[in-house]
Amino acid sequence: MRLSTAGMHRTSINAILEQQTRMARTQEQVTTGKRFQSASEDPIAATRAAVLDRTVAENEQFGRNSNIVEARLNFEEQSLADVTSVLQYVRERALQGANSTLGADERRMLANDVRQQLQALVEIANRDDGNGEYLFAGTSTGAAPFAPGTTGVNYLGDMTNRVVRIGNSQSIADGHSGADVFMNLAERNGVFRTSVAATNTGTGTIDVGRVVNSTAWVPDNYSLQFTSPTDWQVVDDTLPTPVVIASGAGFTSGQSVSFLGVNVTITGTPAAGDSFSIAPAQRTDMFAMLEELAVTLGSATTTPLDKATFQAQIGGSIANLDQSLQRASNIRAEVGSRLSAIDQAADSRGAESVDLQALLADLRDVDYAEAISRLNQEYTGLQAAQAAYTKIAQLSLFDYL
Amino acid sequence: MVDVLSTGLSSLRSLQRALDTTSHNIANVATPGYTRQRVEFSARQPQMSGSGWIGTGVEASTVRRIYDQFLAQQTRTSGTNLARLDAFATQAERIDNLLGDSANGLSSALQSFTDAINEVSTTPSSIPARQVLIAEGRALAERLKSYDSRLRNMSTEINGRLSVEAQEMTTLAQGIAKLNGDISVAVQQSGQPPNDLLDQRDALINQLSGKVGVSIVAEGDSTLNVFIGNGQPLVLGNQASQITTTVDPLDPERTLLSLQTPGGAVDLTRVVSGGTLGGLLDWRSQMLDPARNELGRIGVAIASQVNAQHREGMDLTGALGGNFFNIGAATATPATANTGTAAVTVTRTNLGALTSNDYVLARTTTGYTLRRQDTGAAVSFTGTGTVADPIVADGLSIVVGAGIATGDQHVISPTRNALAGMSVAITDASRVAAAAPIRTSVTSTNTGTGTVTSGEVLDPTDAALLTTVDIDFTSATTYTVNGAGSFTYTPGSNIDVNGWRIQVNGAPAVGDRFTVRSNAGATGDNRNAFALADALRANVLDGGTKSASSTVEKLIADVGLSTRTAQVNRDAEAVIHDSDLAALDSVSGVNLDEEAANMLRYQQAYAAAAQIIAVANEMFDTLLNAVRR
Repeated sequence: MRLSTAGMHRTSINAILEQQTRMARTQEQVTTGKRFQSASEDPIAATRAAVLDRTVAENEQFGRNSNIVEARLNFEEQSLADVTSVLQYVRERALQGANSTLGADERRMLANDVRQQLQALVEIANRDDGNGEYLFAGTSTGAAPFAPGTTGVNYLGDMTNRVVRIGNSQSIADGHSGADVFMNLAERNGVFRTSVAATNTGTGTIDVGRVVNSTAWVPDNYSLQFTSPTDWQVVDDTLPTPVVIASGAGFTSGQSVSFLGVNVTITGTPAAGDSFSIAPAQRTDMFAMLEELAVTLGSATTTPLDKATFQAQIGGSIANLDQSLQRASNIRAEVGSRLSAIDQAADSRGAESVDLQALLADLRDVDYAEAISRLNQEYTGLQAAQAAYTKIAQLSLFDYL
Repeated sequence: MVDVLSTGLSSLRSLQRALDTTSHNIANVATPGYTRQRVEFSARQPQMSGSGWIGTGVEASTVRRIYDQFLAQQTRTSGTNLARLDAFATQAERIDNLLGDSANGLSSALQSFTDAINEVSTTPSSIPARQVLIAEGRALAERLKSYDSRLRNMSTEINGRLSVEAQEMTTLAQGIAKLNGDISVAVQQSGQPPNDLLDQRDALINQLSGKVGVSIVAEGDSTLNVFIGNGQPLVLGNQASQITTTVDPLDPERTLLSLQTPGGAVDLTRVVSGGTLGGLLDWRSQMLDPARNELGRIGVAIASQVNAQHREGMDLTGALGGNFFNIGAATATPATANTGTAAVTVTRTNLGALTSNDYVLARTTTGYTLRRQDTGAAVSFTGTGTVADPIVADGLSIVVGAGIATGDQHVISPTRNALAGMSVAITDASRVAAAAPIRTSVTSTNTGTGTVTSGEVLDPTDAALLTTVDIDFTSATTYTVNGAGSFTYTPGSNIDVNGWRIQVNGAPAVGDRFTVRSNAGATGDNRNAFALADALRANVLDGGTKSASSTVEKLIADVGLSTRTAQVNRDAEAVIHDSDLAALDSVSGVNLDEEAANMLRYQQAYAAAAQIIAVANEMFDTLLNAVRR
């Protein structure tokens, strides 16, 4: 085929330009480490990389969310541990106080100690998370949630739990409201409350009792009446006309009385006409329980009635403390399971992240060995093209004329 | 002897022509569009003598262009295609580079905004986190707006280029027409082809076909007629028409190309194909406009989702959240030719059905037609355009005001102007509505086991939303609302009052109370921030199949794919055009070695011819000497 001079030049120059373009692209790949600079160079890989990038970024955000939740749950866990130790300390004081050998002064000191602990408990309940947010205020985190008043400690927070997303389909509450932790506790054994009637003359006292068969229990007000030191009857006072629902004879101290699926134990010697009340348990709060204990410890124990009442009350308070400890331990268990859920989520995120990074690297990162050998090849190619061009372009018949 | 002299002279003259032409070829070795020329020799008429026909020498009958019309046409066609694909690809690369930059891209801005919502969700009482959210919201709006304005500028640029190109095309057409005239005269005068004028005309036609696809028809008098589009005459003989630009009657933002003919202006925009102009126009309608509208649609999706959720929340001051983003409304622009005065209002009603198309709403004698602006395809709709019965199509609700006239047209742009009006509506960090507006509580003296959900907002505009409401159980199965009514309780069923919804579960006892009240003061509440993050991730576009971020990814992928396709097509066409050029060159191009050889050949022949003169002279001298004695 006949070639024109201009055509020959153009073809050679175009070839050189093309090689230069290719080399510039390889060079860019090597310097940036990326296989493509814009979506058009590899639209499919670029799109997949964009989706993966988003997943990676989301995972990072979930990780940051988890860290914040974890920090707050750790704070809560610490506070709950402190709550538990306060309650255990108070329970020891109560057991100590229950010892009948103590004098009034010693008990008063114990009462003061319990009031100190009550303040400590309020302090714990009003703790913040280090960022100025109160831990146990629900979502009203700007103000201290617990305020001691004349009628006890009031809860000013709300019952909302803050939920934070820690995974694509996983979210977790970052704490418990003060109501969940400190308020709304069933007193005594959780079902009923026993007490010694204020008119009793004997030395008989009543324990907190226990539920044997919860389905047989009917939550009414009952009184256990002694018609003689050995004969007793249980009367349902809630009914318009009180009805005797159980009775027995031959009572001895320490004998337990059973009715409607519950057992109560009377110790001491009740006199004829003495009675003990068994009423449905009320809902109360931890602070009121401590205050009740302090009041009991400070009460007089001079008369047999005082002593009987004191024994019944202190037994009730110890049951109360057990309820509180149970609550604290339940909440701690929940916090623990949330923390472990966060750990598991972090583990699976970590594993996913490794996979994602590997995928991203496959999609987007340049294979240096391949790219550099390609660069060398292109370099040699360009050099050859240039050398060939300069040689061939020099040839002209005119040189021989 | 006279014959020898005459033969020698003819040879000298002809070879001189040949050397002239050779040097002309050498001189024009670098001239673009130059076609090599060759002198055609032919033997002169022989003379009859007794011994037969005696040759009388040579003549240069003509100087011919070595030219293959078929190859030239083929090269021109591939040149037109290449120019179109090159213009398309070059412009496409601009959008690709603009959107595809992953470090400064849209995806990262959207992700930063989502991250900022999450930060507020984890630490709702933190003012810095809220400030970051507002700042990231601004950054996102600014990013979208800057893309939008870059694309808008590209559109304006096209308008400018169209008017420049129109002038150049007119100039080229005039040049061709003038050359047509000159060539026609030259041919008539000499009967010989005016080679260099032909080359010039071909060069002009090539330039013109680089700008726009043309068809060439040769006339008998060596003139060429040039037609554009689908047969509109641009050059007829020595007459050229003018190409001008006019404003699109349906869209004041854009310019149309039109041909001035004796019968009036003819719109060329939709009929031109090929060449740079064809490429630019294709790119405008196939990439630029869709990309702009799609960006607008993404902005609308983000703003609508965030705003709807934000309005359902409560800010730190205890007030309900307003809009977080401002966003431009869907617009309707009346055509300039409208005779009616009706105003058309468009509202976006369904995010999932929203498209990135523009529409033309036209009034007919009996009703309306709705077409896509780019393809003209009919779009189905319901409604009659009144306030009570608006025209509903593709997620839009269109109301036509009074005074519409038959034939009136309105261009409906659902998303094109959305981003121009995008900004963050909130400046005060405390106005970020991270909290839910209501809270529920269980009264502490309740004896039943009933629990209450934290509640959700159904209608944030309800005036009584924040009013305290007590739900009192009058029996295990009935309750009153604020002491009124008696409703049957089913565990877990919805209780809807004052624009909110709660559910009570478990077994409430008689006298139990659940309270719903304003959540003012709950500075640590993140429920609405949590919902905001979810709303932004939700699949709301394209019938609930795509989220805003996946739409961003799809847009970038679409642009990348279109760009890639354009580049591949361009590269393929470049190869074709190169081989066409090489083929044409191999016929018409000057080869210096060939010319050197020719020169040598002609020079030698010239020397030989001169020798003929010398021999004739010697013959004459010999004869004279013979008779002198």
